[in-house]
Amino acid sequence: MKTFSTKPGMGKAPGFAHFLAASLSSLLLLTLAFPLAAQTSVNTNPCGYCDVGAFSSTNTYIGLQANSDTLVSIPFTQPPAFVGTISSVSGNVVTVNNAPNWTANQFVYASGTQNSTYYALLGSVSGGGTDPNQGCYYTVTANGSNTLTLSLGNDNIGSVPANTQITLIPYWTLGTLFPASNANVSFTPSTTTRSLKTQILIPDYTDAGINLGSTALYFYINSGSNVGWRLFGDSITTNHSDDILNPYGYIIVRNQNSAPTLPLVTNGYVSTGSQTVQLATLTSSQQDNAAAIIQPVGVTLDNSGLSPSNGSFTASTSTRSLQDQLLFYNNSSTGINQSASALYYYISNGSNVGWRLFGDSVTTDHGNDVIPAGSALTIRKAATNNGATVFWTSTPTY
Amino acid sequence: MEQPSFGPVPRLINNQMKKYLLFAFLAVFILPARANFTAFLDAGQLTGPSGVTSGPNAMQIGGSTPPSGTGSLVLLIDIGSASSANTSIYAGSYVGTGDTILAATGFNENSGNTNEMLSTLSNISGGTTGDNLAILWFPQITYNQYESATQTVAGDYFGTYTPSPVGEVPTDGGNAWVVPSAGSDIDLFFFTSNDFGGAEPNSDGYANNQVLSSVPEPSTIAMVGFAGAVFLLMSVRRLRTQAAPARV
Repeated sequence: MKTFSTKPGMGKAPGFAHFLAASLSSLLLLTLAFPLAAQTSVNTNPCGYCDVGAFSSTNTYIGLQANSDTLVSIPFTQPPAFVGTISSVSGNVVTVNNAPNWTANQFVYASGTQNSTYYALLGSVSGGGTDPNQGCYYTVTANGSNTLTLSLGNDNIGSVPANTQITLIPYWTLGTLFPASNANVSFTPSTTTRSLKTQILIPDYTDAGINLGSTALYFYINSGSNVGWRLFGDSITTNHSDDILNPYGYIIVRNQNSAPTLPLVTNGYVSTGSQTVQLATLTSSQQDNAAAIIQPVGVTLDNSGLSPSNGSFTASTSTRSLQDQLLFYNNSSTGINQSASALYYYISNGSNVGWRLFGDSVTTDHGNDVIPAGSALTIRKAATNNGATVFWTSTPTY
Repeated sequence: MEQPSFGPVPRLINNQMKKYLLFAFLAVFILPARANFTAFLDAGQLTGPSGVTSGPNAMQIGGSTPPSGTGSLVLLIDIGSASSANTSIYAGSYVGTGDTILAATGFNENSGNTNEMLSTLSNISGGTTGDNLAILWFPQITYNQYESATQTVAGDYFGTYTPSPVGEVPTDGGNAWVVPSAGSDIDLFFFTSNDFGGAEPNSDGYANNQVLSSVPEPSTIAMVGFAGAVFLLMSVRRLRTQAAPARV
């Protein structure tokens, strides 16, 4: 485990003590709190909790700041509903081993009756072998007694071998991250759209280009009998509590109109497997990719998995022509629409090789700078010859 | 073996290169920055001409699902440094000279209030950071029609709003109606006094402007002018012929 750093641009990794303490009792919590998981599988993932948001320069937790944007990711997953292995794959249908005897479509969202949307996370291959899709996740669109139909998008899982680990996890939603019971605890409800208090902004994961604005704004309305999470632009009475959040992304918490600084304590399961983030590129220009590392401890740049050696991050030979860039956001400053506070790049010029902080000496190594848990990142990909998607796999070192 | 000679490098190439370099310099340092941003628009009450809220000229309420395609067209436009939108809109166009469409959506009542819309306009590009923003609404044209290339015709009603003083945060709250820096998310608010105590007069929400008849093409003007001149010349010659005394 790496020690935490206070290198320029990045703060100390928050919440590790909380994570560690909670991990000790993980097995007990697992069996008591999540009988569904125990029913269908054996899961030894630790669980814990972690403060996310702004920290002071002395590592004192501040929270989600008033009159500010705070960019946060969730360093845990929700409790898995199933952990097992794949028997076979056909197209977008996965058959699992050991006949779990699921109820038809029990993992498919149904408003009012089944409020979770599940994704299948692919892991390593039990007994050896290579899973080319390790760390990728796919939304479950249907299930049979031992089968899962997955939404693959443009992806292909035809090469995933038998005995690859598969985990079914409910997406975080607005309602699970910010439950109604946490009103005025972690977020401030609004009584009118004209004076929105806490707002949840969703980064743009789909459009081309850089410096992309948000794609959606959620707020929690509390006006008479009209109560719950709402999507700006949709009907003021339509419930969006079950809208899902990108597992490998982040959100922007905007507190305005007298919404005070409040803490956000996240808790859940610690991911012990890899995560693979798809990074889009363009042929003609740069492309921003909003992302996060889903680990409850700080991760150094050297251990982030972003590296020229695996093709996920293109090195620069000169600061005058930067290739891929990693943008980091410092939540301790206040204000809305904040730009990145630090820009990292990877230099490879003769013997001068490694992570560098833009503005610092081009020979000063920053590979041990720590990305704190719960951070938001933008991976700015340089233009490529073919505009192909690049895969970034990050694997915990704990 | 004698090497082929290409002769001296023509000075023309150097001059061209200088031009390219100058262009590149202008592109990078002189041309204004292009923004890419998101606007959360909360506006009401938007009505038809003279405040009508029913009948064929009233605002059409689209469905609740964005972009509320069956709702009346609402445009976010970049008006440069002007203090209001150019209301000289001619048939076939949706904006006047000098104004640029940045985003479009359909009118809805997703705010829960009568004739007050909520809309998220994301990934807006093409605006120039620092330029003023305005909205236009066309009660008789839906967003779907706009998307299917329906054109405006003379007499179509439309309304427009820009905060006054332009560029400042309006009394109704939100952010300044100005194209923000790239990556920003801004709130654009506009409320009339009959919309739960907004700061703007009700008439600001009226679609009292009308699309003008098409401007004749310059070639058409020239042809008409030429025909007129020929007609005039012939008329003068005929009059002279008639007025001249008969030769003996």
